[in-house]
Amino acid sequence: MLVGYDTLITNIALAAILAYSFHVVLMAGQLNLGQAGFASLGAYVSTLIVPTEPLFGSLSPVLIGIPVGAFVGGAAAFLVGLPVLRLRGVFLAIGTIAFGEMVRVFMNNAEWTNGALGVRVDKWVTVDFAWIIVAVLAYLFWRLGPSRIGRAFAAVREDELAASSMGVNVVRTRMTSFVASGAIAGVYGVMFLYFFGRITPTTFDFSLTVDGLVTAVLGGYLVFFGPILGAGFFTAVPELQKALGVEAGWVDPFITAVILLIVILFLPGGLSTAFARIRRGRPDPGGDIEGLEPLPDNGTPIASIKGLGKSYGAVQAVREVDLDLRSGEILGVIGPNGAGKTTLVNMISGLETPTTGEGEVLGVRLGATGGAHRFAQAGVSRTFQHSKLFDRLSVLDNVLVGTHAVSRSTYLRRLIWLPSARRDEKRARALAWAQLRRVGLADRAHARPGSLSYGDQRRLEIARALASHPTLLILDEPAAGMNHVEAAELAELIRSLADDRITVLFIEHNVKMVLDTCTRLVVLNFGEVIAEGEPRAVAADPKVVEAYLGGVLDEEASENV
Amino acid sequence: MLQQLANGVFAGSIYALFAIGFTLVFGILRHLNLAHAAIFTAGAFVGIEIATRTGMPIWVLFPVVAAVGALAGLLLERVAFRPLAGRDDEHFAGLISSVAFGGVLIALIQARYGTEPKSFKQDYFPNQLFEFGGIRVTLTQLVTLGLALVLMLGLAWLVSATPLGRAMRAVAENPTAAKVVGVNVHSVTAGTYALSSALGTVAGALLALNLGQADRGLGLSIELIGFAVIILGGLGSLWGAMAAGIVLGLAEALTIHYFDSTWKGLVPFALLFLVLVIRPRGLFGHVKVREV
Amino acid sequence: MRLKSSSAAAAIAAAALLVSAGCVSESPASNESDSALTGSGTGADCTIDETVKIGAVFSLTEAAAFAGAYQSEGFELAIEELNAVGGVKYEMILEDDKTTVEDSVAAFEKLINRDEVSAIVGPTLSNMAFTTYTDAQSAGVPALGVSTTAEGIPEIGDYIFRASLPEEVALAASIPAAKESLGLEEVAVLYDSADEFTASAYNTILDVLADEGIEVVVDESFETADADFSAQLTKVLEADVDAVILSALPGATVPLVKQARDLEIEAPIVGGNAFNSPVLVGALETASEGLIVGGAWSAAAETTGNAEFIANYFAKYERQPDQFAAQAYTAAYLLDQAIRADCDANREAIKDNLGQILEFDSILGPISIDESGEVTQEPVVQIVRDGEFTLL
Repeated sequence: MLVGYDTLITNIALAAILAYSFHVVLMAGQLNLGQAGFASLGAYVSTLIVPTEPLFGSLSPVLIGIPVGAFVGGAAAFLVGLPVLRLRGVFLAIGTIAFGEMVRVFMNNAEWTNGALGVRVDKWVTVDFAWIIVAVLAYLFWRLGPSRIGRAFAAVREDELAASSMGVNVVRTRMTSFVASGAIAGVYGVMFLYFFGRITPTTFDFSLTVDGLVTAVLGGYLVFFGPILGAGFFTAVPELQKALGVEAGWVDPFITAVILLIVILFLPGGLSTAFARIRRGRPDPGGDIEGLEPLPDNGTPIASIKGLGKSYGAVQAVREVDLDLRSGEILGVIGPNGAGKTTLVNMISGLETPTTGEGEVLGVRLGATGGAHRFAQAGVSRTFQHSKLFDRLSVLDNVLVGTHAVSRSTYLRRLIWLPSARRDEKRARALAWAQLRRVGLADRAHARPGSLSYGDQRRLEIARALASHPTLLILDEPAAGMNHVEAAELAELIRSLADDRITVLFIEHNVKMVLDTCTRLVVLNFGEVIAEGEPRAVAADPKVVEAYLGGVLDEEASENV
Repeated sequence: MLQQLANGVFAGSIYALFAIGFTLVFGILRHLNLAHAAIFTAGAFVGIEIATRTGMPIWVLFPVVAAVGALAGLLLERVAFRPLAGRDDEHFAGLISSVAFGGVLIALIQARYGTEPKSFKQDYFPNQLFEFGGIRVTLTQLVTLGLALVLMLGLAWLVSATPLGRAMRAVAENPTAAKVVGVNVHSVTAGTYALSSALGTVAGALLALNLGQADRGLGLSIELIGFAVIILGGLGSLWGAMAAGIVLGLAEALTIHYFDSTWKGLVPFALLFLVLVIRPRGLFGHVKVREV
Repeated sequence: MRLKSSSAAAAIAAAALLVSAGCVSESPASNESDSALTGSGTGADCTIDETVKIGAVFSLTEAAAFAGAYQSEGFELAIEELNAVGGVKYEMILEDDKTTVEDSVAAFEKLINRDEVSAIVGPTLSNMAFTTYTDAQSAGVPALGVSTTAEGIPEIGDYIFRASLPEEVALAASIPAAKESLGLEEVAVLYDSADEFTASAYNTILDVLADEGIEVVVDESFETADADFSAQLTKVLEADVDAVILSALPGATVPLVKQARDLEIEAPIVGGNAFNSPVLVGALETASEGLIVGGAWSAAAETTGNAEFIANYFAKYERQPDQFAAQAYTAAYLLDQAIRADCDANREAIKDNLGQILEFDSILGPISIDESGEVTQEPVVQIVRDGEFTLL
C-alpha cells in the first residue's frame, strides 16, 4: 500500500526519536543541546560492538545496538552532567553545544572512526522496527506524565526552588532527565546508523541539534506525543509542497520556515496544544488518606538553632539568632523590611546555608550539603514571599506536587499497570483534594493558577505546602496583598492548622493578624532578635516600638494593610 | 611565533565582531537570538551587492549596510520576539522563532542571489601587505581589527553615556522596574535588536571582504564560535566579548603553531567547557546576587 | 536508582516488542521488464514509444547547492537536446536531496518505487551515494554518479556506475604535470579535514607525492567553515615551499587562496576536481593566476561538441558552465548511448549496456565505462592564465 514511502515514514520515526531526546529535557526545563554528541558516541561505539551478521540467523543485530546506544549515550550524559548540570538556561545550552562539537572534532580525528571518511555498515533497521521504537518511547512518556517523577519534572521546569521546597530532589531530577536524554539520543544515533548504513562525524553536527530542538518544541513538550507531531510536520510540509508542484530551490525552505514561525507564534506550546485542551480533569476521588505518619505531640521540640548568622559579603543579613520551636506552636516573626526575616526562614527550610552557627530542624542539620528537599522530606514545608506557583500546571497538579514528599514513586509500576500504582496515585489525589477543600479552592481545581485572584493564589500555595503533610509549616508573608476579610479567614485557617497539631512559623507585616494568631512572637531588627515571647508583651516592648518608626505599632501597622 | 600571535589577534577580532551584536541582545534581553547568523550572512550579500552596483567607498558602504541591518533587526524583533513577550515559554519559543526567522532570511537570500557564492570586485578594496619587524599584516586585517575596536568603543559609549544606553541598562537590570520608572521597554527592545543587527550586518560584510566571498553558510560557520565567545566573555560584557574573541583566536593560532592543526577545532570548545565548569559566569562576567 | 530500574524495565518492554519485529527478511529484487520500454531499431534509429523516465537526485539547496544547481542545469540541457533528436523521449524527474542523507535516500526510494524510473543520475555527494547506491543496487536500478569521486563507489555493485573522474586520477595527473613544469621538490599540503571528499583526496595527495618523490614539508588542515587561514599560511610562508597542494571545497578555496596571495605567498597552488570552476576564477580574479587544476573537463578543450555545449548552456542559463554541469550533461548522453545500444530502456538493459561504453566521444573527450562501473577518461590539467583556464 505504501510502497515507495518507507524512507519517508522511517524519517518521521527517526526525527521523532531525536525529538524525544529533547522532549525529556524540555519537560524538566533543561536546555540540554548536547544530543548530537551523545548520538555520535552511541552510533560510533555500536559500530565496534554490534555484530555484522543476524543474531541466531534471523534477528536484527540492531537489537544489540539499541541497548549499546542507550547505555553509551546515557553514561556519557551522566559524566557530562556531573560538571555541567550546575549551569542553567542559556549557559547550560551553550556548554552542552560545546560538548557536542568536541565529540564531532574527536570523531573526525580518531583513527578507529575512519575520520571524515565515515563508516559503512549493513542496513538493518526497517520501517516497522523504527516505529516500534517510537511506540515504546511514546508509551514511556505517556505513562510518565501523571506519575510522581513526571510531576517532579514539571515542577523543576516551572520553579526549581519551589520544587525543592516540596521535597523534589532537583539535582537528581535534572540528572535523570539529562541521562534519559543522552540514552534516547544514543538510540537515535544507532537507529540512524543502521537505517542509512552510513555515518560521518558531520552527521551529528550542530544542525542536527537545531533540527531536534525545533521538532520537539514545535510538536510541544507538554504532551507525550508532541515529538511525533513535530516530526510528522517537518516531513509532511515539504512533501505536501512537492505534491503541489512547488519547485525545488528556495521556495520550499521558505514556506517551511514561515509555517514554523506562524505555528510557534500562534500556537503556544506547539502543535499538540490543539489536542491537549480537550483533556478534562478528573473529579475528586474522595476516600481515605491512609499511611500518613502521625504528627508529633504538642510540646515536642522540633527545631533548635544556636548563634545562626548569614552574611553576603560585607552585608550581615542575620546574626546570632537563637531559636527553639516546639510542636503545636504558632510562631510569628515580625520586623521591618530588611530585618533578615526571609533569610532566617530560608536557612530553616534549607534554601540557604548559614555562614555561622548551627542548628537542627526535624533531625536535619542546617548547613549540611544535599539540598532543600531533605528538609521537605523531614517534614518542613513552606510558602514564598513572592508566590512561586507552577504556572503551567493546573491548581490540582500544583497541589499534587506537594504530595511528593509523602508519596512513593509510581512510574515503574505504572509502566506495567500494577494496581498498587493506581492506588498510590489515587491516594495522592485524595490528599491533594483534601488540601484544596481545606483552603476553599476545591471548585477551582482545574483552573490555571494565573486565573486565580491574588488571595486565592496565596491560599493555593498554602494548600500545596500542606499536601506534604508537614510537621512544620513556614509561611512567608501569607497575607500580603489580602484584604481584611481574606486576612481574617487566613488567620482562622492558621489556627485550625495548629489544632491539627501542625507547627506554624510565619512572617507577616500585618501585625494585627500576627497578634491575633500566634502563640509566640519573635521580633528581628538588623538581623538580630530584639525581642521574643508572648505576643502582647513583646508588642509593648519599647525596643520593638522603637524599631517600628516611632512607636504607633498596633494602630499604624494594622491600618497599613 | 610573533607572527602567530598577530594572526591570532586578527582572527580573534573577526570572532569578536560577530559576537558583540550577539552578546548585546543576550546581555540586555537574555534572548539567544539564533537569527543573528542569518542577519550576518545577509549583511555580507547586501554589502557585496551595493558595493558592486554603486562602487561606493568602504566608509560609506558600512553605514549603509548598518542601516539595512537595523531595519532587519526591527523586523526581527517585531516578528519573532515581541509576539512572544510574557508567554510562559518565551525562552524556548524565542529560540525557535529566531531559527524560523533565520530560515526565512536564508531562503530569501537564495531567492535573490542564487546558490553561488558572491564576491566583492577585487579592485573594490585593494589589499596591501605591511611588514612591522618581520610581522606580515594585511590592510584587511588592520581594518577588521580597527573597525572592531571602533565599534566596540562606540557601543561602549552608547551604552554608558546616552539615554538609550541608560534605558538599555535599566531593562537589562530589571524590565519590570524599568517599565515602572517610565522606560519604554518596547522601544528599547526594538532599539537593541536594531543595534545588534546593524553590528551583525557590518561584521558580515567585513568578513566577506576578508574571505573574498560570501556564501549562505557564512553565518553558521561562525555562530558556534560566537556562542563560545559570548560565554567566555561573560554575560553581555562587550569588552569581555572582544577579549574572549581574541583569546580564542590566539588559542587556535598557538594550537596550530605548537600542535597539530587537526585538533584546532577542539580548542575553543574545550576552553569554553572548562571555563563553564570552573567559572560559570565567564572570564569577565559579574556576579549576580540570587534572590528568593 | 529509580532511573536505572526504570531504564531496565523500559529495555525489557522494548526488547520484547523488538524481538518480534527484529526478524531479518530478505526480499530479492524483482525486475520484470516492461515491453513498452523496448523499442525497434538500434542506435540512432532506435524508437521507443513509451517515455523513458530518468531520475536525477542533486543537492539543489543547502551545503552542496554550489554543485547541484549546475548539475541539474547541465542534465536538463542534455535531456532537451536528446528529446529534440527524436526516437526516444526522455522525462527527467528531478529531486532535491537538500544535501542530507535522509532526503537523498527518500528521493531514491521515490524514484525507484513510485516513479519507476529506468535509471538514476546523482546524487551530488559521495556521502549520500554510499547509502543510496546500496538501495539502488538491491532494487536493481542502474545509478550513474556524476560527481561522486570517492574511492569505493563503483564497488558497491554491478548496477552502480560513474562518469565522474576519481579524485586520485585527477591528482595523479595534476601533480606530475606541475612537477614537470615547475620542478617541485618541497611542497606544503593544506586540506579540509572535516569533509569526506577533501579528506579522501588528502590521502591520495600523499600517495601521489610519495610516488613522485616530492617531500611534504608542511602538512596542515582546517575545517570546512573556517574563515581565517593565516596561522596555517604562516607555516607555509616560513617553510618557503615550491608549491602548495590544496584539497578544499570551493567555499574554503577562495578565502584560502586570497589570503595566501595577500600574504604574498608566491608559490603555485595545485588542486583537484573541486578547483575546476569558473566561479573560482571570477571570485579570486587576479589571485587565481597560476592555479593548477586537475579535472575532468575544460572549457578550453577542443573536444567534440564542447563549444556548442558552452554556447547553449550560456544561452539557456546566462552563466558559464562548470565541470559539474559538463559531467551531468555527459551522463545524459551516456545513458542515451546505453539505451539505444539495444533500443531497450529497461533497467537490466541499461545496466548491461552502460558497462560496455567504449570510447564514447563526449565533451569530456573520449570516455569509457567498464563493467565494474568505473570511468576511464583522460584527465585535463589546466592552469589559470589571464583569468582563463588554459590547458597545461
